[in-house]
Amino acid sequence: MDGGVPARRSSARRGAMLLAAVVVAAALAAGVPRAATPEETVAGVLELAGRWGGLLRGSVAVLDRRPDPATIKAALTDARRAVAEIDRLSANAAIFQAAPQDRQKLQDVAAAAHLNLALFETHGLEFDQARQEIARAKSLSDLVQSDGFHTEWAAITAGEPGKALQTRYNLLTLPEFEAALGSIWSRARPVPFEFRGITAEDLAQVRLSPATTPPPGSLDERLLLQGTSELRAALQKARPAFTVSLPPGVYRLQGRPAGEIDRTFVVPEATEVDTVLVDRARFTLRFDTKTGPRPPRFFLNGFEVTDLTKMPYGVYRLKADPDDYPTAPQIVRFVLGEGIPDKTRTSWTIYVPAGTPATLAFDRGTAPRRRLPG
Amino acid sequence: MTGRVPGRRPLRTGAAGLLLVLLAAPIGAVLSADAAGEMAALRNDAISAYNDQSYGRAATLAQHYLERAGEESRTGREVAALQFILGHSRYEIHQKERGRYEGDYKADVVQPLEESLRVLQDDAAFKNMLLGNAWHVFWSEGGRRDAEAEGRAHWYLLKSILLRETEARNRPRTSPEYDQFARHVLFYLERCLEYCRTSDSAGLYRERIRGTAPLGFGTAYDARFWQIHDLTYFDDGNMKAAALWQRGLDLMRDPKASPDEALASFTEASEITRRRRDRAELFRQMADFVSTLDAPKRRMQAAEFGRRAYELNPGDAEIRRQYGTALHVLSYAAYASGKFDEAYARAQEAITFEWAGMETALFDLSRAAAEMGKETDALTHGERAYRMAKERLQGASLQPFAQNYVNVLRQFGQDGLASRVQIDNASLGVH
Repeated sequence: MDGGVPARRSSARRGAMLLAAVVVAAALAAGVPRAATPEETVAGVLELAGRWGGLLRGSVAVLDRRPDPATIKAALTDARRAVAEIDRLSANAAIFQAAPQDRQKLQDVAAAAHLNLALFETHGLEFDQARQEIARAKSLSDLVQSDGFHTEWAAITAGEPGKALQTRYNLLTLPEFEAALGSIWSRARPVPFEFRGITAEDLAQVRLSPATTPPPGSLDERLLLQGTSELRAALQKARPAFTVSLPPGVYRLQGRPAGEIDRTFVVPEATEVDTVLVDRARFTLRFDTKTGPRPPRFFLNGFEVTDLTKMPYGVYRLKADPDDYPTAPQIVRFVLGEGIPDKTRTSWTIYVPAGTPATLAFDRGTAPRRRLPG
Repeated sequence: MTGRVPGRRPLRTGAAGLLLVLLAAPIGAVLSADAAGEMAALRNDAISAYNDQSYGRAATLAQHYLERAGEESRTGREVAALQFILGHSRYEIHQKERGRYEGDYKADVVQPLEESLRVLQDDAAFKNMLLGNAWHVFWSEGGRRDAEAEGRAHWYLLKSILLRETEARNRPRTSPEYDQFARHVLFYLERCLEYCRTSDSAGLYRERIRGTAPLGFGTAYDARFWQIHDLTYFDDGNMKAAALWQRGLDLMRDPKASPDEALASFTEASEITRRRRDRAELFRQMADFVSTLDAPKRRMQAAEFGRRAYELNPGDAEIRRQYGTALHVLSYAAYASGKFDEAYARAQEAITFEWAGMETALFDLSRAAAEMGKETDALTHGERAYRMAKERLQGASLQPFAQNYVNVLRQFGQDGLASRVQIDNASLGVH
């Protein structure tokens, strides 16, 4: 769509007066014979509910223009209000002695509106609310689950000065709609953080930055803004452990300049996100190299740690040849302090007291080495 | 522009509904006869004062009533009715004062209206509009930054439009009933533009305006509705810039507004306009505007704005004409005050690009060059101006160009050619 410059403005010499001023001065002053208010008849209620529904659908276009968080928030608030109006009309239907089919029509309108609202809630990053809206829609009307039902997913507007707006909607069935929303919801990956041995003053100075800045107005940008805001709030309160949602990507946590806090971590697209444990303390990891020709490799939050003499505490993922290390776990969590090691087949928790090295040893494999084909 | 609710409310609306409600809900079930009588008297006096538009008295009486009702923990429709009288009366009083509200506007005006509306929803369109206006006053006097207040102010007004739309449906767009509705919609649209100028969520108003403006097409205010509708396409839907631009246009046409006020709005719009040709259009508009103001400072501004428009969009013929004309005006003024160097420089700048009316720049250049003794420039440009004007103009409009050419030819001793040109154009009064 090419917006273009509006038709050339009238010259300053031409005196089209401030029409609005005249209009507003007279506006609403004179009374008109009062018609029946919309909510006094069943037909009026249905029409009004339709208008609220129309307002909701008309607002979907806002979501397709990479809006900033403030605009999304305003659109979401309006959407909630519009749905509340429809719900109110639907709830009051009995007062007007509406026929069952009319009540059902109102329920259908309300259900469709709740689905629209789920879309706004999702864009507003209120994912739990969005799920509730879908559940509410399903409970209100069977129509939304029928084969012929479609709901608005996106709106493409086309228009230009002097011409009326045309809006085309991308419509989805309910299963398609839920799947599409789910793909958005899954962009928000819960990332657990733990900060240990760090003063409240230092915590307050910790900043999070992404390796690549998401496109302006994108969902990832909003998720990032929300995540960084939640992280900042938690750090300001000196909370040692908390979880915030972030979009997949590479991030860096940095403390005050020349300080010791500097941690890069990956938030993966699909796999579980390991706790990002930030602790000033370091330990030395000793490894029995005789157990295999190629030692396991250690990855901390997505990045390989090669210097085993200054290992940060945290959750490590191991990459080891299963032929050499058939009993090696997938995850080893090194925790500062004393405790009894907890070992399952895939995950170990090892306690490492301050100032002492940790020794890691795996049982040597007894299984025959794999043979190459042929 | 403040969103005033008209003072005179016909009895058919809120007050009538109020009376009906009150009559249907006698008090006294739990009060002594005396106390019930006092409350009833207070209530009736408040209603009478309200219906007489004695808002000060109505507010005082309603406040007394509500204080007593509070002490007795009373709620219900009657309390809601008096809350409405209190809020609306205070609203009207403040509107008449036209100053900043001294107390807590939200607590004194907005909340009584909002609480009343929760219980009494008769005449809903009017009450929602009133509540929208009250929130607007609160937002406006609070510095126009409160997003929550802005959202509520907008919402209640929008709701009143939707309610009235249902009333106006099926009416011809030229009917008095629809005309009133159209004015209501226009009032809403103007309010939207006002919010856009400072809002962080201006994008939402783009959709609201697009959805609402068509309600006014085909009415007596069709042109204004289209103007506001078309604004939503300015700078790819940049509503903040569009609203500031429209504000500049409206101020430009308002005899009470100062030119600098209009220019400030245009300038603010230009700073946030992203697309080059839309920014160029803003500067063209500014150049056009100041060119109508007869002052040396404004003439300079016209050329400056014209130049900026030209730099942004040199392909636009209207912009080139605007810029060339502004330079011609400057050159002309400099020549008239004997500043021939300046007149020459301005005219030279005006012939660096093609524009409709370029012959006047060549004329200016020739005249100034002649005064400065630049023979070749004076003759060359005098001839070019004359020939170009001959192609484009005729009659009296051509005369100055022919006369100037004759003059410079004579000045530099080319009497023979001067005579021939003079004879050719004698009918125009060239001498």
